[in-house]
Amino acid sequence: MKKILTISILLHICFTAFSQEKFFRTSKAKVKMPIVAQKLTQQELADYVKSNFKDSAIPTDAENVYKINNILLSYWDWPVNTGEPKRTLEERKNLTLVSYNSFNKKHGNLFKDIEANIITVNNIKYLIDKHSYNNDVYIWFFSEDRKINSLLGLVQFSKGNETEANQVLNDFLKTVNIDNY
Amino acid sequence: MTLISDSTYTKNNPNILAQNKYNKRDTNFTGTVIYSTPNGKFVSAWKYIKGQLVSGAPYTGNNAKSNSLITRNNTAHNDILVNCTTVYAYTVDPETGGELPGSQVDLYTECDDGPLDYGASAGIDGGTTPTGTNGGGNGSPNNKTKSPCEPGGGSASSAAINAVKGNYAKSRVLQQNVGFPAPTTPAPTNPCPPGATTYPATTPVDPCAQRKYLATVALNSIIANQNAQILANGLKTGNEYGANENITNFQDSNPTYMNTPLSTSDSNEGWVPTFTWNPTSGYTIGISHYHPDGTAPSPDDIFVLMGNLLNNKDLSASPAGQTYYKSHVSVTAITNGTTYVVTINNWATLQTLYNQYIVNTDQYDTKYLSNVKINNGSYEYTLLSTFGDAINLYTAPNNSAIYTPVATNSSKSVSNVVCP
Repeated sequence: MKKILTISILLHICFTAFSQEKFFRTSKAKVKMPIVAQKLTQQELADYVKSNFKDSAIPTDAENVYKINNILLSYWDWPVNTGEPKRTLEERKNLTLVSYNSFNKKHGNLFKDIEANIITVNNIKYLIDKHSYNNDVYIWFFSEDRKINSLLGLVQFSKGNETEANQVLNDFLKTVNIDNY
Repeated sequence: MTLISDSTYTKNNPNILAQNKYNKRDTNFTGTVIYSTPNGKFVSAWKYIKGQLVSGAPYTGNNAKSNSLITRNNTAHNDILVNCTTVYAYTVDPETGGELPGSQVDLYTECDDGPLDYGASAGIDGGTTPTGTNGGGNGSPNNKTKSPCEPGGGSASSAAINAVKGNYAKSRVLQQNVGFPAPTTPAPTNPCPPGATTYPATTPVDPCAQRKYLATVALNSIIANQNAQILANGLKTGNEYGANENITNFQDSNPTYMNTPLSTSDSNEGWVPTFTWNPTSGYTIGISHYHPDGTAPSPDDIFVLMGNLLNNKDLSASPAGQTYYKSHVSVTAITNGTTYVVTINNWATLQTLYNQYIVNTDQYDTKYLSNVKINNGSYEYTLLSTFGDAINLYTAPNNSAIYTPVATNSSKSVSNVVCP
C-alpha cells in the first residue's frame, strides 16, 4: 500500500511538473485589462488560433495572452541591453518597411496592408507595425527603450474586426505604466 | 501506393485526391506518396510540395526493400505546444532486428499543430492529415528507372537547378508534370532533394580558435580591399554591394585570394552572390556583402552556403573540395560600424534547417520575420536562437581583424564569448 502511495505521489509530482506552463516571455508592466478579457493558457491559445486563424505569431512562451472578444492581445518585456547596436524607433520604423518590402519582393506580396507609425501615448513612444497575412491582421507595438526593459506585444485579429482591434490596442496602451521599468 | 496529403492541399475536400493516380499526378499535389508491397512492406516514399518533388526515401534494391521500414520520430519543440515528427526510413539489422546503424534516411519533419516549427510562435496551419489511399499502379516493380533528379530520368520532363536568386539560395526542384516516380526509383544523385544526401556533422569548431583564421582572411590585402570597397560603395549609394571571396587553389596550405569584381543589384533589399569551384574562376570559399539596414546575416545568407554544397556540380564532384569548403566557408555582412561573419559549426544541423526552409520558404521567412519582432527587433538574437549550433557568429568593428564570437545568454541577450 505504501509502495502504491509512493508511486502515486511520484506520478502526481511528475504530472504537475510536466503540465506546469513555463514562460520565457513575461512582463513587469502594470496594465489594466478590460472585464471581458480572458487570459489564455498555452493550450487555450493553440486551440483558439487553430479554430480562428490560419496562423499566429503570438509566442507560445508568453505569459500574458488575452482574448478580448475576437481579438488576441499579448505583451512581454525585452531587456534593453541586448548587446546589439541600438536603433531608434525611427530607424526601426524604416527597417520594418524595408524588411516588408524585401519579403514581398521575394515572396510575391504576401504581406499586405503594411503600415509603420510612431505614436505617443502617456508620454511613451511606440512603434506601431501593422500588416495582414492570409486575411489575418497583426499589429505589433514596441515601446521606446526604458532604463532596463522595453515593452512589446502583438494584437492579432481577423479582417473585419479592425475597428474593435484598434480600440483594444488604444485602450491597452492608455493603461500601460512602465515607470521604473 | 498510399497518398498522404497535406491539409493545405485537400482543404477539407478529400475528393481532390481522385486527381492523383499512379500515372497521373495533380500539379498542385502536396503530400507524400508511399509505395509498399502487397504485404505492406515499404518500397519507397516521395514528398511533394505543390506538385514538386522535394525529398524522398528511394528504393534501395530488392534486399533493402524487404527490410526497410518507415517510421516516425517524435520530438517536442518549444517545450509545450508543437510536437514535431521526423519521418524516416531505415533498414532492419537482420541480427538484432533493430535499426541498422547508419541506414537511416530522413524524409521530412512536420509538426502536429503546424508543418514546421522555426521558433517560438504558434504555427497552426498545414498539418499533415492522412486522407486516403489509392491502390494500383501500372509500373513494373523491379523496373529500375533513372532517378527523377537525373536529366531525362524517371518520368521527369526536365530537371533544373534554380540559380541563386536575390540574396538567397533556392534548392534544386524537380519539374515533373505527369505521374509519380516508379516505386523502384533509385536514390537520386547530387544535386538532389533534401534527405537524399546527408552531410554528417563536422567536428565542432572552437569559435575562439577560429578567430585566428578569420583574422588571417580579414588581413589579406585582397579581401581587405574588397571589403573596404563594399563598405564605401554601400555607404555612398545605400545599396547592397558584394563580392565573392575566391581562392586559386584550395589544396594550397596558404591559398592565394583572387580579385573578384564587386557587384550590386542597385537595391537595398538584396544582393546576388555567385559561386564557382574551378581553378579558372576560382574556388568560392566566402561571400561578403553590405547590409545597409545594419542587420546581422540573414537566413538566406547562410542557406546559400548549403545550397552551393548541394547544388554545385563541380563541388559535388570533389570530396576534397567539399571537406575544404565545409571547414572554411564563411559569409560576411558589413554594416555601417560592425562587420559580421558567420561560419558553419554543424553541417548536419544546417541541413535540417535548410530542408525546413526549402519545403516552404514563404512560411519559413514569415516565421523568421515574426521571430525578429518577437525578439524586439534583435536580428542577432533571432539568428543565433534559430540556427543554434549550426553556426558561429562573430562581430568586429569595421576594418578590424579582431573578431569576437557572440552567443545568446539566458537573459534574452547576445553577449561576447570570452576567449582565453
